Amino acid sequence: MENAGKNDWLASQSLERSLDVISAINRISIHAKLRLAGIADTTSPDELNSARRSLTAFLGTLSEVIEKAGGTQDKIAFGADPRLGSLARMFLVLPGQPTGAVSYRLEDLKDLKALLDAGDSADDEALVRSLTYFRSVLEQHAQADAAVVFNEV
Amino acid sequence: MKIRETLQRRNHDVKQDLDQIVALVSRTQIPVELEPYRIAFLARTRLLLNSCRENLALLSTGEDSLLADVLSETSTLVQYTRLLKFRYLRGLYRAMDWDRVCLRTITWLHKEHEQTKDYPAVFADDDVSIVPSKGLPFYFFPCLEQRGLRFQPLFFHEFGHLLYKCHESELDSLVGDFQQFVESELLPVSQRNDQYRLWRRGTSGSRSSSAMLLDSKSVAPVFSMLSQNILPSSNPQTIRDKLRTCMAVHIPFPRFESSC
Repeated sequence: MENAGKNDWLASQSLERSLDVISAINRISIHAKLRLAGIADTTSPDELNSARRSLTAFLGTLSEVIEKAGGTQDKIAFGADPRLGSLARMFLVLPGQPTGAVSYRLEDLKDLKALLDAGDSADDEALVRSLTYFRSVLEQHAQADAAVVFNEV
Repeated sequence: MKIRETLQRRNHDVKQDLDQIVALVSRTQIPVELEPYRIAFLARTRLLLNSCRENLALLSTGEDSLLADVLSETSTLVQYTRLLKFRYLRGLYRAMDWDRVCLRTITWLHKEHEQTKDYPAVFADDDVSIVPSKGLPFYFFPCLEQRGLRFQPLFFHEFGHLLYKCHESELDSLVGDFQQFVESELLPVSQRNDQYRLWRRGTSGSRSSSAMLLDSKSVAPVFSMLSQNILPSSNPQTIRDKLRTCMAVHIPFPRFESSC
């Protein structure tokens, strides 16, 4: 375990980025579910807005990388973070086909972005479904990074 | 419900770990140069502790629809805690007076740049490298080399990775342009478009692009030549000509695939 955490800093950065985004997804999802259940949420509006901003920013970056990669013959996003590029590639190489536990659908990303843009007026049930989908995509991606960072076999 | 109990237990375990980390870090004797890092580290650990408490509070509401979110949040928390234990704690746990030389070099480097001036200095024992996270970069430096000035300049190289991270969007764009240029230069004059090509794509994954055929071994001498001969030049035509020469010398794979 001596070298854990430094063998591949790209994986390490990617893992931290994914964990941050997953945390933001959880915060928004919990807020929406508590609203649906009629339970008061103790999360401050600032925290919630920060989670929304962080998720929207990530979705924007990912969409940009997907668009860049989509314009090349081999679906490679030039100049993009390699781990983000490989996530983007999943949406282009096997669109809609399940890979492992999740399937990669571009339409779902667009739907989620639209729901986040709608803010409090968004349909909470649709938002929860969309967030759950994107979380499963990121969890699968983070799992691969964690295996590298923590020297897991 | 069993999952609720399991999650409660897991969150209690993580909380116990984090409490232990806080106690350990708070009482560890460290050089004064490491104090900003201790403050940043404790702030991060306390955020995780808050998250732990929030999970336990959500579990106590009895709302089943939240279990999937709490499960995901707990799993995220476990990964963060692992990162704290296996990386971030290493800079504090065995800190000693000898660390002051390296810490001063890192602090000075950080202070020289607007975007890194508030980043705390920290490092741990290992081969020279860096994990250039924005806000909390983590350096590694070998034990013996820490005890003198001879190898300190190596921190400048590592600091370059952090600067790249600070200016990521601009630099990624430049790298992207360069990668595209290399890709276009290496693109074969003619390409097969038959079953044989499809078969080759299948056997070598999807790495059919000529740029992707480069491995690190073949790229290394090219980049070495680039840094010595090409990058000082600003004339695009000169860069193009020199790049062609570099590739001809160092990358001995066919310029085009024959068509049959």
